[in-house]
Amino acid sequence: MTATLSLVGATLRGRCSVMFWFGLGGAALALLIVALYDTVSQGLDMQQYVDAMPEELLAAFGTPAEGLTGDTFPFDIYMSSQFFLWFALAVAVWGLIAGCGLIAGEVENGTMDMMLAQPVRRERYILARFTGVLAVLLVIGLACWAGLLVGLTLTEVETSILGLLIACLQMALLGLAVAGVALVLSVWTLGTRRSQMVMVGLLLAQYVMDLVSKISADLEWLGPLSLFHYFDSAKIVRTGSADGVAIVVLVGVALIGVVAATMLFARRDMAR
Amino acid sequence: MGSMGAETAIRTEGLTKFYGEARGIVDVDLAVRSGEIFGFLGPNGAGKSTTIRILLDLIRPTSGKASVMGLDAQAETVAVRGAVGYLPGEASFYDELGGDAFLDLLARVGNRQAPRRAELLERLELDASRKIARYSRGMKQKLAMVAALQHDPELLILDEPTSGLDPLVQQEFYAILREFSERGRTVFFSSHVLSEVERLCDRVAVIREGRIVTVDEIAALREKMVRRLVVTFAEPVAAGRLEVPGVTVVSAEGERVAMDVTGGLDGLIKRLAQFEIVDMEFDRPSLEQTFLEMYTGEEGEDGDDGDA
Repeated sequence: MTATLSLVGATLRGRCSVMFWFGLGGAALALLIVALYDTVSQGLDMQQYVDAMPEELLAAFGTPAEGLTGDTFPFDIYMSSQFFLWFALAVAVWGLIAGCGLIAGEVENGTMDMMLAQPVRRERYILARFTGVLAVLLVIGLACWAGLLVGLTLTEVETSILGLLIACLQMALLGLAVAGVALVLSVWTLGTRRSQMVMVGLLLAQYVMDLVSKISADLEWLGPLSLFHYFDSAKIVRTGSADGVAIVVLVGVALIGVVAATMLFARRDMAR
Repeated sequence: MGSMGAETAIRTEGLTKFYGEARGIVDVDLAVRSGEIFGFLGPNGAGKSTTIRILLDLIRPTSGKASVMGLDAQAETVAVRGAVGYLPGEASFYDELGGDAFLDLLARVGNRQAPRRAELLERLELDASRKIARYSRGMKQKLAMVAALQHDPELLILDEPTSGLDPLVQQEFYAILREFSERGRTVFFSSHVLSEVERLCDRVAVIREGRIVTVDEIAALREKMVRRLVVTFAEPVAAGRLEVPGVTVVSAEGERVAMDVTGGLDGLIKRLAQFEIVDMEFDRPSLEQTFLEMYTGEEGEDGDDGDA
């Protein structure tokens, strides 16, 4: 247990500055966007907004036209389009970078030799490292939630605090699922750049699939193939409850990635 | 299953590793006795690091077996690594950590105490409170030494350990290794620096192009070496008058005679005593010479990087 905690701690220390700045940036952005809600919502002519934008484009940016029928900008759609849509993408990209560098980065810079020369099982090593990534993502998610809570005190909006918490944690889960897939590639290639290149392609494809599934009814079937499909922040904020299927899918992808990476890592030659 | 008190610290049988088509090592048979300082000598790319990495289970052999302290190096790898201290040639660290924090991390990851850390830090004059990012190359090498020895392992595996160390620190490091060995611990010392192997080791294995060329006592290797002796006599001496077993006259120009000598010197000294001698130059035998003879013109041909 001490070994595992030490490795988790080392992973956190190694990503301390990222965790701090990402968390702080997320919190600040969340606070700012919530704080601006009243001003943006009341100053906006919704009908003009809907008329000015093609329906597909609104959908692509997480703003379905059917949701924009009242006089004000609905809070769930506002938060989805102004914060979660963009920040979830940033979290996914961080998951990609962290996952790709987790094992390959250590092999490339030579620290893996020193660590695996210690009496520690490879399975424990990789699981502890990935737990460190999970911890970083949770901190980022919770920091965003804290920013949202502070922002709410500056507005008159009434929304479910639990819904915001679930949205932030599910955003972290999205990052974790991406990191899980990236980890497999990291162990497979033992090259950070190679795995990153493949992962960027995969992530881009996933993003586009989610986008086109929202724009075109004919391509709607592509949506469930994308990880982004399983993070509907507007729905979570609106209902204040979790989407069980989406959580199962995201956790499942992360778990499958970790198990596959662990099995691969246990057999892999650590050759630079 | 083996035991930590094994008489043979390291044993390999037919150990072979290919990286795809590229040769790593081929049929390496080694038996390192407990308590000895064993040199593992060879040029870069000969397969030294490949052998070491198999012993530590960082890579898996294509065929053959390896055991460390009586334990199977692959099946019982965690126990093996628990008994071993490892010093890589170019150690890498987490630069964001302090030296102390890094040593703590290794101790905790291995679930081990670090009874010798304070003593080693003092002897190597290393300030472990500083961030590793601010360490020089030599300081990093010292930190790696402390990391390898702090838990007082049964077996120390060193892969080209002294590169980057200044001569004074090297001397201290050699002293630490000798003391380590005197306490019955085993040292497996990989190097291409022949003088340090000659100075430190009891026995040596020479590896070339992935294969073991010879395994012998250092003293026995010296016996096999050819030494060049140049004698200046008071007056010319015919080459035929210097015929002694183990001596070959290479050149005789007037009073100056050059000869190659192998084996003992007793017969030659007694023969030379019959003449008046003005001067003698005797190259001290070194493993360097033997090594070069073994590898003449072939050092650059090692295509595969056995350090992989």
